[in-house]
Amino acid sequence: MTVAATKARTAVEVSPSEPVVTIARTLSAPRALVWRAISEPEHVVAWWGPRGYANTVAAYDFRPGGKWSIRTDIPGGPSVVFLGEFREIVAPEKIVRTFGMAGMWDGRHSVETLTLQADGDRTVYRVTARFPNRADLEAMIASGMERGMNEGFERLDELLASLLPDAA
Amino acid sequence: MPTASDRLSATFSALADPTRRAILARLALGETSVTELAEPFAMSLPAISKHLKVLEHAGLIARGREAQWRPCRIEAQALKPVDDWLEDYRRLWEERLDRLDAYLQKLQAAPPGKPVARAAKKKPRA
Repeated sequence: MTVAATKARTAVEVSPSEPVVTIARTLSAPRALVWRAISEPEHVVAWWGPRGYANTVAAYDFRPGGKWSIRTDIPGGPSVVFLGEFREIVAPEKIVRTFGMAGMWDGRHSVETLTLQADGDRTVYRVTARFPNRADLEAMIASGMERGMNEGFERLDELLASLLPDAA
Repeated sequence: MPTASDRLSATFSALADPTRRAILARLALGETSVTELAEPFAMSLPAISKHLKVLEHAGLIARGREAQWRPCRIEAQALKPVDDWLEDYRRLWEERLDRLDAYLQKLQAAPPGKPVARAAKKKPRA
């Protein structure tokens, strides 16, 4: 049994027993173009981070053994650096790379296997992310949950503040 | 008082065993006695009871108190924190891949020969 959430465009599944998450999405573009968009740094930086954040590609040595590193500047907060190493590259269909965040997880990285499957003028994009161990995946889940809970409370505070009769 | 993290760990531990997942699947169909639950498995009642304890500790099932029968039923609410996180994580990927999809549309719309690659540094959008 996997815990699955499938809606709209992107399907995500978490294995309940292995530290593995899988993501699947069909993109409306031919595979050759998708390959370029995910393998060339000038393209990657154009879609990488959340809206409103500045992203800088510090390294993107796209070959086995090559290092990659992207910095995201968060307004009013410290930067976050995502980084890792490319392990296997099979153009135009597969990239295996490690994925980590500077200063987090005691330097442990997850291993992501990304595949592109051509489907006419569309492409099926799949990622399998394997975490170093079950505890790391659960810690990420727990931190996401707690963050979600905190954000939920903040939104509630704002809402309550806006409902007060004296609110500006 | 268990933290959200503790509860989540307990949920995942409970789900990590195939017998327990099968028990949950059976209970999703309706309240059932321990004897009926044990039937498909080549397992003693005490062994099944151990699994039921783990599920109960994780809040995934509730057990009735009738001395002889003790029916078990699934508590769907216990899976909600996992579903909630999964939805957040799914949305993260959805937004990321929405951006990729939108960017791909832009690349395809550009007239041939016109360069579309931007400078390495992306400007923040409002």
